[in-house]
Amino acid sequence: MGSQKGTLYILGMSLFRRLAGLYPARFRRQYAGEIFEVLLQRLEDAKGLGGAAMPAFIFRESGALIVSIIREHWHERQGRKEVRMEREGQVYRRIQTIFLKRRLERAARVVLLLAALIPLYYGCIYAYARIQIAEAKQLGVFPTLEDAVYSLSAGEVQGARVVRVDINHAEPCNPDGKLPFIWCVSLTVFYDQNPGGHDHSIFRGYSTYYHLREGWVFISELIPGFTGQVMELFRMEEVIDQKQFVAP
Amino acid sequence: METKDSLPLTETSFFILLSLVTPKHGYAIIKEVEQLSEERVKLAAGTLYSALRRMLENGWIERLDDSRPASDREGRERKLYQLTGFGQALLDMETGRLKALVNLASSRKTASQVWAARRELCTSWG
Repeated sequence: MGSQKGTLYILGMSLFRRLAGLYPARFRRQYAGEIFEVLLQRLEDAKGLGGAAMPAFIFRESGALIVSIIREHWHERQGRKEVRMEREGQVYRRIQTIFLKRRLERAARVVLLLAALIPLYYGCIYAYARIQIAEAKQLGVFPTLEDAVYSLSAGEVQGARVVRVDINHAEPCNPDGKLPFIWCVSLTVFYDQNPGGHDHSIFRGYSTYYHLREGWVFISELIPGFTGQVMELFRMEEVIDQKQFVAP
Repeated sequence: METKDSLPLTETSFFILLSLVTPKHGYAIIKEVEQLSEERVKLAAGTLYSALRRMLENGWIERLDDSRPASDREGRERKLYQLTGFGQALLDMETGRLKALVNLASSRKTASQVWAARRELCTSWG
């Protein structure tokens, strides 16, 4: 009987040792030694009780150990899943930050580009207006509109002399009078010879003349009045002050 | 973790926490729980250590090295477990909850006694 109890004791110990080895590594490192210690102490208690106490104890504890092992494996797996999800979350947050950073950088670049374009645009239109005025002045600055149209028509047809210039219509281009120095003029020029072999006159339906501080000039731009608007915008020295302006 | 989120405790958890008011090792916890529950709750070693692991992770208890001399520990390298402040608060709240339940059940009992007395009175009149 005593030998049977000894065999059962050794069998129980061996079984518990093997089962304790089935716990997940982390749990095993921390608790398996303690669990085995407790089981040994309790096995000794059961041995002391005699009868069927020891086999009942081995059976009960083995079952509980198996349940506990399954639970710990499941817990370990859940823990790994949580860690993986946490890592994935971190990666996602990092990617999001990078994208946000890139988007902000792109927006800043666009803002900077726009900020650089504004002075560039104003610089360009200022330069354009200056070129237009310089070219106009090169053609001549005249004391009156009549002088201007007569002189500018004079050299236009080779071998022909201007007999008469009729100004059909002349008034500031803008109806609200904000730019009174820009004039729209239509005229007919009469020559002493027929330039095309058909007629002695040329009709100019729409020409832009500027009445500047120094006198009248002819502006040959495609967009009538644009140069004048730029001149007004930059308050160029050539522009006649509106208050001092007297219609001719 | 909020204390309220952890309530109510299971009976096993309640007894383990109750036993850990003073620091104990695994074997002593099993014995104490058996004693407190009047042999009703018998903890298996595997069940106990799974519960201890969970309680440690939740911060209800802490694990200590046994600083007693080797002769008192029977030469064994044991770890001691004891309640943390959070665990103590949890235990107090659970005790309060159980007390409230007992009070409620007691008041119900009184009411049923009143009804029994009324019934008796009616029968005697009838």
